Amino acid sequence: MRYPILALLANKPAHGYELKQIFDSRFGTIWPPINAGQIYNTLSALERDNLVQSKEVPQRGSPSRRVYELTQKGRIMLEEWLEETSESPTLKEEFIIKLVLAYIVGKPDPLIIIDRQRQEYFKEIREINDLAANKSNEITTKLLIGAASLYIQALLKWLDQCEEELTKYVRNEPTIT
Amino acid sequence: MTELLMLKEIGKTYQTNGTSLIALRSINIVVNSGEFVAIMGPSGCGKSTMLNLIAGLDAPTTGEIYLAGKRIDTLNETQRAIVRRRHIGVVFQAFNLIGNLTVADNIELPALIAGFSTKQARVRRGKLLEQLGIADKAGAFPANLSGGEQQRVAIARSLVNTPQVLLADEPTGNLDTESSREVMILLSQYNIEGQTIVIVTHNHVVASCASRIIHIRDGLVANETKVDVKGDYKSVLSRLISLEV
Repeated sequence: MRYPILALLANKPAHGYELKQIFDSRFGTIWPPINAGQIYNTLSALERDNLVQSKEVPQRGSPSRRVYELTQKGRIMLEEWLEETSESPTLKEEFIIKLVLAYIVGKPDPLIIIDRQRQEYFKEIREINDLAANKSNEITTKLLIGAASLYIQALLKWLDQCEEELTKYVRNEPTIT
Repeated sequence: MTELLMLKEIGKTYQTNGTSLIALRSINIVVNSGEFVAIMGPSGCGKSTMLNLIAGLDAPTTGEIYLAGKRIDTLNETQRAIVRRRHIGVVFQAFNLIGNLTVADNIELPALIAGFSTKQARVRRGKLLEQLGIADKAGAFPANLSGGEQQRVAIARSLVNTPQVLLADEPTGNLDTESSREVMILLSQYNIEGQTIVIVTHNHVVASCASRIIHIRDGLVANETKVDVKGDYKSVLSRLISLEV
């Protein structure tokens, strides 16, 4: 959560609840939902590390608000992070490991867990299609939806490939010893 | 919903040079009227064979196939051709249009073969040309059309005899993303209006448009994913319009 918050503060100072609103409108429902508590905790941690600073701004007729802005150190750290390349999350998907280990254990039948997982991914791809149908999505939401859709399509293709390999292998196996 | 298509313990074995190749072992599938079914499975799992058997392009080795309660697999080749012309529409990956006929004639031909009068056939083709947005291409030849346009003509041709079931074998297989999306929107539109569709595809997003996904493995039905088709016509369409096919 640190970098997203730094990024949302980069263009203008904001208070905690405002950040949640910007977050929701930017990323819609595709990003796992965040609560205000997470934002406040992250803001305190960022302030402790001198990446953001805050001041009380009095409000007419309501309690004053704490408004946060990026420090020079925060801005440099954010920009460095954005400019760095990132490693892909290859093989960090839990199911990939699970399937390979199921093959070693021999139970449950890998083909059966492939079928189950495929249903799960199909469910997700349909949910993504539903999100994509929202015409008022921000460009940032659209980009995330595209990533999620293609990612799941890749996993589904991988399931097909596993199925093909495993079926071929079982068929050619001489005898089970 | 009524049972429209039933495959009962369908098996298909091909004999070549004394060796036999099992394409389908024992397939049991029921397709209800108005369903949109996607058939998926690894290469060589027998999914295209299955579509050919339903279309009557080939006969099963074992089992029974029923269309609207009538057994169709025991018919002879001529009778099967009649059933296919009248009641089954087929769309192929490679479009299979007749190159020296215009778009309009390609669409009209199956209606004439099925015994409709020239006048009736004209009315039908006119309506389809409009619905599929290819009216301005009526006089063009297939070679002068894009892949997406050719597939739309092929869909129009397959629908000209108002078939009970529309079969499509990898209908987006030769198309780019944009044309794939258009083709899927068209098929979904016809399905929403009641057209029963059975499609074979490798593309997961294409399959996710269907109301049921059947997975074939090693000549058997491995599993089925049922989809709650929620929402009205408009929401289904808007969902499709935004697909990353």
